Amino acid sequence: MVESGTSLEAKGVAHPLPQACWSCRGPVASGAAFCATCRALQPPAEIDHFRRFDLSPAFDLQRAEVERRYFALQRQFHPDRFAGKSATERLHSVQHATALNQAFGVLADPLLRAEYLLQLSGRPVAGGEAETVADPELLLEAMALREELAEAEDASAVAALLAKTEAMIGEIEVALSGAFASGDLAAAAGLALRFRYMRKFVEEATRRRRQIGA
Amino acid sequence: MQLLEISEPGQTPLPHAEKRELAVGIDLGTTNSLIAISEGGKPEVLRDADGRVLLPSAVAYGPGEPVVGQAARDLLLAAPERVAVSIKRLMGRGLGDLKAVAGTLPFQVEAVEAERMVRLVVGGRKLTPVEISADILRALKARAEAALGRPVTQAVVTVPAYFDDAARTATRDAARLAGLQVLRLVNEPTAAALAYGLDRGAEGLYAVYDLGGGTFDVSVLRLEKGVFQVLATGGDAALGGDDFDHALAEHFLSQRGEAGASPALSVAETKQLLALARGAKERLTTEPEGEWEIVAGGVTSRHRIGRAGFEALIAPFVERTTKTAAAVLADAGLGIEEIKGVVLVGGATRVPLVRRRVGELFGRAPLGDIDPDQVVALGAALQAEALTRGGDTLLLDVVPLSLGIETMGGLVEKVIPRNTPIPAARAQEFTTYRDGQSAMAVHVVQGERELAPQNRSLARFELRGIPPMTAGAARIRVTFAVDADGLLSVTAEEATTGVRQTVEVKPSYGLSEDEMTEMLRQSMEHAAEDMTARLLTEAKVEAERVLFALDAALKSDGDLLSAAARGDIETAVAAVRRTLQGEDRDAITAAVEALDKATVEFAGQRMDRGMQNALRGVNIERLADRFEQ
Amino acid sequence: MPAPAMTLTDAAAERVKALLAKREKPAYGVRIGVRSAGCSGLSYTLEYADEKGKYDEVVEDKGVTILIDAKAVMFVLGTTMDWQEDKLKQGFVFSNPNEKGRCGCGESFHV
Repeated sequence: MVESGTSLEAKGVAHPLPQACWSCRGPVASGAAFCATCRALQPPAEIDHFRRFDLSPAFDLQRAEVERRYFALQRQFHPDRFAGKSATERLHSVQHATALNQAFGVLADPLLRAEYLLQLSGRPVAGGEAETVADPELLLEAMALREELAEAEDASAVAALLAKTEAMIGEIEVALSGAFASGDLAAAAGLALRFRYMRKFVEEATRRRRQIGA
Repeated sequence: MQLLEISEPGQTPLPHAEKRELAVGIDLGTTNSLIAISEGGKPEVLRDADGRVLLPSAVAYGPGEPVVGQAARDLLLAAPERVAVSIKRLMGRGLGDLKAVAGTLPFQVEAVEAERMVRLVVGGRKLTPVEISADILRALKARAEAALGRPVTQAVVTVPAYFDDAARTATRDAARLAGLQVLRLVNEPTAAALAYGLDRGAEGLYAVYDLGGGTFDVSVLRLEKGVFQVLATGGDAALGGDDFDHALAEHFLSQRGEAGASPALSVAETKQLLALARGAKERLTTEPEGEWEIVAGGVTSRHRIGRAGFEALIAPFVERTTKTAAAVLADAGLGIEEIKGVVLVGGATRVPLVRRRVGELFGRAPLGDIDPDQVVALGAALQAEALTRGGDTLLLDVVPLSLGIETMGGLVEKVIPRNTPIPAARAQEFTTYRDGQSAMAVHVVQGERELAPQNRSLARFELRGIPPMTAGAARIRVTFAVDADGLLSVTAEEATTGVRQTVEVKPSYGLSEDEMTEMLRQSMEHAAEDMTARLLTEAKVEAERVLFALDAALKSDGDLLSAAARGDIETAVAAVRRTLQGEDRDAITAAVEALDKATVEFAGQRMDRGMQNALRGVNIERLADRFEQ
Repeated sequence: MPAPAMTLTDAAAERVKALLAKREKPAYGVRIGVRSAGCSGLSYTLEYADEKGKYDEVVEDKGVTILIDAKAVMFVLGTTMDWQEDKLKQGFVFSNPNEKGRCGCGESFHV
């Protein structure tokens, strides 16, 4: 049992005070999706993707579980559920569904999830040009892969290269899980950047395979 | 006499529920259109007085009212200059786009500005594809009203998944012109999956191969416990069974040429030839061969062709569809072996070669036990029922083509990539490239190509009033939002200096609000009245909402009010209720505004109480409990 | 003692008792309300009541508790609630001396 409002704040409840319902104009508990008095749909709360899915921020997530929550929430908030409602509620439902789609996109993808976690902990992966140069090891690895791709002459060579990269990505995911679990954000940031490079390379190689195939 | 049941609190069904919320599903096709209704999860296609299901998407214009359907198609041979067919291919298209379908559409086109919707000259009138489509929709609406014996004003209308924003907007506008409120635009393959999935309780990954008269779509969906999740979609908005007709027609023409007849045909003769080719295609679907006679320019020629010859003619088109289907699978990162079933949609999938090739591609016989002509309309009807009466299914669709902005050098910067789930919103920041630059042109495009001119231009606008800054200092935030209908809206604002302005974008090829109003005014039917009726309904829905909310508020906090204050509110409520019995929208709106004013103080008192409760820790404890769990 | 706001027929009382007994959770009674809807303005609502509202009018008749929403009192004053049942349909009806008009379908009324 929490005894005072202050310790609650420490738990991350930013606005414990009620907001005004747009419809009946009475108080609505902060973050509540529906007004308890008149049941009108409120605009989505500005919360992070994990909280939107009622999950605690973590890298290790079961995709099936994320999906289960995504479908359940969309069932509740999707615009198809509000087709006969007032214009404001229809708008709010589009906003809810948009926020859910956005959150699902991030939570269901290990790379985006890692980057998002880093951003939440104040350590965004820039991924900009400067970063490229800053990590010569990564640069060399990426260049080597590119060369291999350029030399790959048939579809099976590209496929082999793709399989190799996918395996590396699998290893990165395991390492990321460890880094986040031990709170080593610097390591996680490095791994996420490498992940991003591998992802780009996979896209390129896939395109190449399609070209060769055609 | 109303017979009441006892309901759970707040669950009393609305009276007239069955009358107020009747919504139909419409498949507005290139060749044929259909209308269907679903009740209790059982969809049914509505027939005309003669029992026909398919309404040919043909409209004949003359001195009187437009003629829609088979009568118009029959007229194609006698008076082709008066008949518009395959109009769906021109929805949301500009003059420039016509090159893509040039020669295949025997229309006289009126010259318009480069980036405006085309107008066709038919039966002496100049009409946009939107107006012609509206005539088809009016005929469908009339059919449904005759069949159901009550007015029909709400519909789910299907569009090819691969339709771009301009074509979607044009479809929605056509429905508005016809006096139909579009509850949702649903992608055709998704609608088909809905009809199949609900019918068979299918689970797993399914591909929908939809080859219609003028459009080709392929979608991959995951079906799971009432969820229809589109994973990827692709297609070709200018490829369909019509192309088979054209290939046959051209074949016949070249044979005539070899025989020495002049190849030049009038517009009328071209339409007649196409009608003949369509008949030939249909016959070759069931029979091994046939012979046809062409009379044109005073020369009669005879043409014999067998199924093998026909298949050789259409093979390149079929090849294109299977390649696209394979690419969509690859796009979704799926192997063909993961697909549990393939659903065939569209009349052109009756062609044996199409069935064979699709079967070969997926390594399994495609499903076709629901009539491929009807399956889309049936799915649309199911969705219409779900939207108006509630349902347990969930349709999660995607953006079919990437949306982006033209940047320096004509390159496209993608803002929303294709296959992003909708509704979606993304913002991208752009900056100025010259010192003191005060305006920025924004060009919105849709497509996958790297250069802007190779994609479809959707809209252009200029963001003005950017405060003078050095190059690269301004931060112009452009936000793309795609709603559940797949329709895009774009807003832009400059964010650094607090000078914010928002620009709403109208698609280039769409109709402006003015054009729309003018068309509604000119409309011979009751579209304008329907529009007024819809605005009235909206005002009533809004007033009901306000009354409902206030009622709930009074129940929970009514004790805050003095007798006098309560009296004032009740007077204002009574005034709203009085206006609700009438048909005067302005009176309703005014009464609702007055009620709003009368309850401002009450709202304040309720918020004060809410705050006090929160501060007293009552709510906080409850909150705390929640967080401890 | 003033006359009750409304009365129930034996059939209606029996039916209400049977329905209350069948409901999953215990109910305080049945609440009658009106709301604006339908083609001629107002229609009845008939719902289980979990508790008595502050402004509800309470009617006890034939062992059944009926709550009448404050807004509805003037509409149901003097009515009799009956249960009707034939081959095709069944339900509760109010015979209402206050009603001046009904829409053709009988689902809503105005006063």
